[in-house]
Order: sequence, then C-alpha cells, then structure tokens
Amino acid sequence: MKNFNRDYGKIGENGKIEFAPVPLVIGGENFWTNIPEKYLEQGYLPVVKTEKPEKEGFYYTEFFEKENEKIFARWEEHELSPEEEVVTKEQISEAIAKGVNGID
Amino acid sequence: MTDVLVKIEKMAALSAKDLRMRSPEMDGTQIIAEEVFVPDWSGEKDYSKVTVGAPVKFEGQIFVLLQSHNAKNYPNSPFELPALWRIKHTTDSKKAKPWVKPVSTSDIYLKGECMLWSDGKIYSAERSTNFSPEEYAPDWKEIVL
Repeated sequence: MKNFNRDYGKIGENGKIEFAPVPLVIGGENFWTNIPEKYLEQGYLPVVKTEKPEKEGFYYTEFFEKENEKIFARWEEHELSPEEEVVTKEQISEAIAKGVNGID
Repeated sequence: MTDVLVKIEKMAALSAKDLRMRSPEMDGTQIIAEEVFVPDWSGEKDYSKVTVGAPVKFEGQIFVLLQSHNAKNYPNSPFELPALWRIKHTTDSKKAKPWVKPVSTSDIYLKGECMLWSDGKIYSAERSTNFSPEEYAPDWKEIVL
C-alpha cells in the first residue's frame, strides 16, 4: 500500500490534492525523509489543516486551496435537506424496540 | 420521526411477529440469535392470547411462554414463574447470558450451552448440568472468545 506524508501536497490539474509520497522518489532514488526542502524541491507545499466546523443542520466537505506557497484545507458548508437528515444508531435501536414492544 | 424510522419500526414489528410464529419450533440458540426481535416481558400484559412458545426478554434473559395467562394476575417475574415461563440458553458463546441457577430439569444447561459466569468468563457445558462452575467445575469448559 502506498504511504503519504499528509503534511505536504500539491494541487493537481484536476484541482484535487496530491499528498507527498513516502518514500519520495527523486531520480530513481528513494528518500525516506522529513526534510521540508526535499518536498519543496519536488513542488510539494506545506499543508495547513483547519478544524472541521460543526453546525446543526449542515455538513461539510473538505477541499484545498493554494495561497502564499502553502495549501490550506478549507471546508465547504452544505445544508442538510430533510431527506438527508442523519439517523443515529440510538434512534434506530429505539425504533426497533418500539416496533418489537408494540406487538399485541 | 423520519420516514426511515417509521419504516424501521414497522419492519421490526413484522419481524417480531414472524419470530413469535416461528419460535415454538425453535431452540434457545435460534431464538437468542434473533433476540433483537424479542419483546420485553411486561407485568401489565395479557398473555392469554399469545401463542405458547412466544419469547420475551427480561433482565437480559430470554424466556418462552409455557402457559397462556394474564401477567396482571401474577405478581412475580418470569424468573419466579417456571410453570408459566421457561428460560432459554444458547450454544453461541458470543451471545451467552449470565448464569441462572436451574430450578427444574427443563431449564438445565444442556451439553454445549453457554453462560456468562460471575468471573466475567464464558463457559460451555461439558454435559447437561444444573451445577454451576463453583458447585462442580468439571461440568464446564471456559470459552476464549
């Protein structure tokens, strides 16, 4: 399985982030390194993580933007429609118990 | 409540009724495997029209109805009413219930049936027995999950 260093990445042509591979392969040589210069040389920029917001009635998807030679993780806010209402395990268990205990 | 939860509730009720119909032909292991669809025992419920063999759940144990009756007329729980309710055991060690001292030959632990003993370990009966591991250890074998 391929490993990645999620502290460094680059925005690909499709707009999606590509995290730095571990090891970093330069000229056919493997570099098992955490040296920032090696990543920067290969075009990988530091990734700045941000905390995922939480707000009732909304969900968030992560995307990345390049700014000042860094890549910032951002969160796009989406409103939950009634059809997308989250049902918890507890609610499912309660519904099952209600149905089972409701029989004559 | 969302439509999804209403549907789940209806499906659960149907599954519970289906299990009740099938349970007279099922053993403890089979009933306990579907215990999520076993209703709770209620001291307020009239069991006089409920099928003999129907299962109920009480304090984590599964019992089946032996005689139709109205629970309101009996002040005790299924544990104290062996003429009306019979406890069931399972051979599935993952679903083993806490040990309950058998009160008659009909509720002894049969060979292979499991229980959770007071030391927190699961034991399987090496032969049909009414003795606990404390009373006669050779009747029980520890099951490591």
